[in-house]
Amino acid sequence: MTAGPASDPELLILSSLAGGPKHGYAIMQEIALFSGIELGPGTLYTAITRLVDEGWIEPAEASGRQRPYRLTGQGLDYLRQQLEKMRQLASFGLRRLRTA
Amino acid sequence: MTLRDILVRAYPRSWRKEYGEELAGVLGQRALSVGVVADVLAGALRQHLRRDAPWKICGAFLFLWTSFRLFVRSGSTDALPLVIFVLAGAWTVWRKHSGMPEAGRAAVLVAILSIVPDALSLLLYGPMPVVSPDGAVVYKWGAYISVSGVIKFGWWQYVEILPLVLVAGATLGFAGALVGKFADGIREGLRG
Repeated sequence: MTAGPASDPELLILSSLAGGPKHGYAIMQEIALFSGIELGPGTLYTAITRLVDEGWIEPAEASGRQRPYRLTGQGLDYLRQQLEKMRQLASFGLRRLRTA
Repeated sequence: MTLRDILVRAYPRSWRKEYGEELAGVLGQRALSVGVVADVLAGALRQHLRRDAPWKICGAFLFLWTSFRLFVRSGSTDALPLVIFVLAGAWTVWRKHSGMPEAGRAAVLVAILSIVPDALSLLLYGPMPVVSPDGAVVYKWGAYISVSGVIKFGWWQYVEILPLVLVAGATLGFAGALVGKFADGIREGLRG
């Protein structure tokens, strides 16, 4: 799969966490399932670090060695905005393709 | 120590405190291919760039650069250290909203790190012969006689003498601080 807005690791992680809290490995597995993109551990934790710093996700209570993360209210708003922009872009592009 | 431990230790200590155990857990659940190792090392580099003090990053870069030049016995003029001194000052101000003294201090620390390979080489092996641009053999810590028989003093040799390096570092760090303050002002203006 080629790079594009739909392959942005941060959006992929936020989309995965929209379904409930998950730890790093579970996020990677789910992203591979729903998008076909295999995030490397370095890419995953770079994105998680940034998302935590931005306040878009936060650690939940740890269960053993793995610590789950959950979306914050801010993160949910950000995800909604980004997905809405992507939806607008997709519908615009598809309209253009129909008339091409 | 396993490869997984080494990969986790490649990250800055402050990052490892927060995420190190989780990363180790994820690495333990998958095979370490070349791609995964490269991905983790790239992540470690990004975290160092984000978290480490600018003087450490600039100093490490110049340390490697000076070592490389020593290794290949390069005698050409090299303005890169001066650019990095300015960068260290500007970056310190930009990152920490700090003032001129901190920027100057950062550039001086970078300058000290940049001459460590030369100083070690001098202590261990004595003056190191290198080849100057005009083909003459140069001893890095002194004047040299060019192929035309003229005594020459390359400026780059002078800036590697400790006191001058420190003065150059501080001065260029202050210059960098001005650049950083200007950039910081624009950033704040855009935010406001």
